[in-house]
Amino acid sequence: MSGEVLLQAAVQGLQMGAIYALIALSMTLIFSVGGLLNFAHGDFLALAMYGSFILYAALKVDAYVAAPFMFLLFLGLGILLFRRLVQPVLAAGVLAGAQLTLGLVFVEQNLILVLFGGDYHTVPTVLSNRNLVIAPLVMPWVLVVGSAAAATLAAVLYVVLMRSDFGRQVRAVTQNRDAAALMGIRIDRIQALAFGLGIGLLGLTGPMIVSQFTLSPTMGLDLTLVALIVMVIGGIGNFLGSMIGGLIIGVAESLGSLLYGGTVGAMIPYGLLIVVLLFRPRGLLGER
Amino acid sequence: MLDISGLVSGYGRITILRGVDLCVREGELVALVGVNGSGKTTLMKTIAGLIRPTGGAIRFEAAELDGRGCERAVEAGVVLVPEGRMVFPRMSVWENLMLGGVHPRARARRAASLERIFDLFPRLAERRDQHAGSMSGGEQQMLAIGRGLMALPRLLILDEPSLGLSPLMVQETYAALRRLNGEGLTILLAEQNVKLSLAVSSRGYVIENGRIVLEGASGDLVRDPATRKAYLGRL
Amino acid sequence: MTALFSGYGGPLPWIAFVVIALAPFALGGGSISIALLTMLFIYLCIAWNIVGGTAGQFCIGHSLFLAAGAYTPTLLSIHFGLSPWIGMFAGAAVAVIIGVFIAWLSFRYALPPLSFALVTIAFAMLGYLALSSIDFFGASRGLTLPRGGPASYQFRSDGTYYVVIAVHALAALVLSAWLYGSKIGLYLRALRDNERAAHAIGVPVLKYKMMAMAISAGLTALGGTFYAQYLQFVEPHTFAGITIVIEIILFTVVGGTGTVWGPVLGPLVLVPAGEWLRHTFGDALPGVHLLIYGLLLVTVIRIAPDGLVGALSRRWPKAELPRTTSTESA
Repeated sequence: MSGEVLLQAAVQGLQMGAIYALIALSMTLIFSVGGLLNFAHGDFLALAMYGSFILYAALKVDAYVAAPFMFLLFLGLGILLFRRLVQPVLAAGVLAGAQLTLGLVFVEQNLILVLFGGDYHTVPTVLSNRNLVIAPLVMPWVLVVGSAAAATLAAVLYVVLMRSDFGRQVRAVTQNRDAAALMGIRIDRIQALAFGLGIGLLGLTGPMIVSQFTLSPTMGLDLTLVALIVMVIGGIGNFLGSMIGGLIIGVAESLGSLLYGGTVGAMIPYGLLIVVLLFRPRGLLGER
Repeated sequence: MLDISGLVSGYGRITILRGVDLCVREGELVALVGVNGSGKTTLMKTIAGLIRPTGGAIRFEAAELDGRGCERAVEAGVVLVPEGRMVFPRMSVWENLMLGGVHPRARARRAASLERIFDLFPRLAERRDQHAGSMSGGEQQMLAIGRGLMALPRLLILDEPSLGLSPLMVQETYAALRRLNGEGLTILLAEQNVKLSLAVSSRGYVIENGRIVLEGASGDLVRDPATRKAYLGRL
Repeated sequence: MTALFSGYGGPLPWIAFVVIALAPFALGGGSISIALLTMLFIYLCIAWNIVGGTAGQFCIGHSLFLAAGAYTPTLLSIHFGLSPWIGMFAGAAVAVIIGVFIAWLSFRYALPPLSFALVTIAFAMLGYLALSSIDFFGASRGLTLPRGGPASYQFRSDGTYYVVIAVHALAALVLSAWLYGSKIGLYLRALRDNERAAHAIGVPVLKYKMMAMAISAGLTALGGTFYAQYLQFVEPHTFAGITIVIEIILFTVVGGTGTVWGPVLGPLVLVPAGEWLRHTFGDALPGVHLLIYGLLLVTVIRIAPDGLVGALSRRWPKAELPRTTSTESA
């Protein structure tokens, strides 16, 4: 196995890793602020991808152009869902909330099935089938753009969380909900916005990465599981941890598939999850 | 300013406060003393809006505060500095203070408030970018008070500020409270440390088993054998 | 015997259960296959509930146990001609071993509930991936059962299959009710509500965790064997996939976890509803019935987050269930 092939696989893994990291970050946001483990997270991403498919198929709108609209749409959708559905159920406990998201998995998966059928779809964009060549690497442009977008969004999210007033309020609610309430912070409003932002990010990410995936109705659950693994491995609530965790998973999966075949490659993230949960339960970088 | 009558409150099915009557007039520094479990913290949290009372009324100036939640209380000007400080551990001093001033009324004056607080607590200015979680108990207490002040309170409530503090820090904290009250801030102070709180306040209440059992001028309470009795001789 | 009747409504639910169980024979026709599926899920939900509801260990790994019960007797039958009637105990044994191992892991490494759930998901996915890629297990195509007669746990009529699973379900229900009222059940609920406190008062945590898991795993495996014998093939997606576990969990949640009748009520309402939806809408647009189904589920959870049993017992509080309320404290 030549060094070049390994390098190629590693780079590809890093790029996928950046995307995984962003999905994990949006999941962490939702989890830290409201305690909700969103099993349907990947399905929202799948919905976003199918959304851009529809826009392309019906209106010839390129996915990259569709991205901002999808962001706003999903932001609104997230806030609405939280207010009407999630918040009332969360009053009965976080376990009930998680169970609700399991139900949502059902709904969203089959919504996709009904609207789009069970066939596989792909969404071409202006950049499809073109490669960026930086010898000795040959990288598909869609992956380069997708991962760059993911990394950028992660950076933006970081800045928002660390520097803005809203971000501070979100972190306050994460660190001590009662104290945050005593400051006059509207907890339910922050939770709704954080949830909306998390979903909105998926709406934005979907179109950005859609052209390198083959769309199928069940893809959501796989994405959720990967995000979950990254979130846990990096340390729940740990921003940097999720970034690094994403990169690790991406590379491990890529190299594993290359060296040992697709099935083993798919198994590696789960194996890593078990190892981390048992031996470093707070994640590689510790919880936040 | 603050008028509480017949307040009944607790957690779920457990009733802690069984009809509390209390009032605080503008400009006063009133002490509330009671042992652990007497209901001090429950009372503080209920006034601040964290706990919803099951009976009675809380009136602050014109506003009704019972069961309306924290946001309403803060907007009206009632701010609680909670037991144990509850600073945001993974945020800096500056960030903690900024969070104190999130609600609209306070936000407009944030910069000015910040300066004033750094003036009042120079140690906080020194540690402006330090993570709150790494500070000592006394420093955290100053931060918690500062954070409360950022919300522009008309009535500042403190729950056991001397808890876990070194004697020196207790003196500094109380000096600050005295100074604030001198400048016109109305304060309600809940403490286990009877001597300290009655020394700095003009009036006091003694709470026991969820009811007010004694009230009066602080000087009188200190000398009153009934107070001593309520404390099982801990004066 | 009277202990069984001490719960909600006394002997009434039991009588109702028997009557409902006998109904398909009167209704005949297609109702038997729906009833069969319903009974299977009732059985599986009761089994899951023992560890997931009563003991409070939110385990999402039951697909492993189901697969153990499906694949083990099948392989034994294919390679050694062993009758599944005997093979099913081997399947149960395999499941018990896996289950006890997982329970031991969770204890040894002091896994909090979330981590435990994630570990079980991880093991379940590993199992699924292994089964779908290794040829010995038939890879993604699966294995077809060798044909046989009643001696090989295969029957010609759905009716006979129905009787078998109904007996399974009734037995599981009796076991679950007995467990509930017994000392073991008490300990398990103590574990669920506050593990540290339970430990402090001397409840042998590890022993009971393993016990709950073992019972749950073994029962689930037997259910897996039945299902395999009914379908006459095994393949990874149906038996080892996460979908069926999610369904089991959702049905139990809707019915009410941690109760005796919750795992009965959930599937009783939802499985026939699902089948009816499929029958009515399934042809028009594929997936519509599942979509409506999902919406129904979400609505029920939204309206009654602590399950149908919880909602019912609030409506008729007099005959109060001997249960503590939901596993969550706000």
